[in-house]
Amino acid sequence: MRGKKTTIIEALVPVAKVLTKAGIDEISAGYIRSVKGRKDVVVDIKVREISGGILLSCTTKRYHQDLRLYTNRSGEEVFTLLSQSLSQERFRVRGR
Amino acid sequence: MIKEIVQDGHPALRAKAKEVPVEEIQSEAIQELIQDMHDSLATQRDGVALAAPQIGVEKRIFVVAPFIFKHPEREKLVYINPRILSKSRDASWKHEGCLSCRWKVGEVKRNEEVEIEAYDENGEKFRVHADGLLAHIFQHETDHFEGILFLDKARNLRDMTEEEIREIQGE
Repeated sequence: MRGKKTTIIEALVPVAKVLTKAGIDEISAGYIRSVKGRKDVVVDIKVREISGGILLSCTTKRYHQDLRLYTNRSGEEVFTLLSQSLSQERFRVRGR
Repeated sequence: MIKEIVQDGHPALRAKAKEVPVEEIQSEAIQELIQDMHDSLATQRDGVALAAPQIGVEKRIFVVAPFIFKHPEREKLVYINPRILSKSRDASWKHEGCLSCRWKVGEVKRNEEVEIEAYDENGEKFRVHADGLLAHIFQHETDHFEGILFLDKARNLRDMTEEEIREIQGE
């Protein structure tokens, strides 16, 4: 199949920076899907534990992208880290 | 050894590929075929996966390019006799192209998540739950084993522009 590896979308770069600063640098960016008709400008981040790491399901005004974090930290820790470090005006972090 | 990637019209792309007997996975012939597939895929700048029928071999094997993973050493790159166990209900139209259908692109409806069972190059059975690009690859490559090309399912099919082709070729 033809295709290319995806990179982190611009709106999620602050999320990656917070994670990297906290020592979580093994971040894999998933496929980018476009979102239509979303008026909310706040980025939604759902934190979920998956086998071997943490899945962040992120939805911005225009795109959806999953970030996989390969870390030993719990979902609770990542949730707390993101909630405390990201601006609440721009990001809405939810646990699951 | 680098093999030629066959193009639409080649009979191997329309044949139903045969399963590889598990006891033959570690044979010299199959190991050589896997290596040939990796070598051939590596020559394609825009290739993310390659199925055996694409080099004219009617066997149910596909390989995935290591560069799509951040940690390829942790991932399975070879899928032998893969079987899709389940697919998510949600699906969307995804931009798609094929190394055997140069230079066409279109959109194909693919499920967002897929669970696959296969054997690796050591003959070990494993399961992978994938989403994103990997789930997309699984569906595209397993179609090759049934003689299905993305052209059969695509909408908005078009030829790539010269500019797009030049970009892929790195000119």
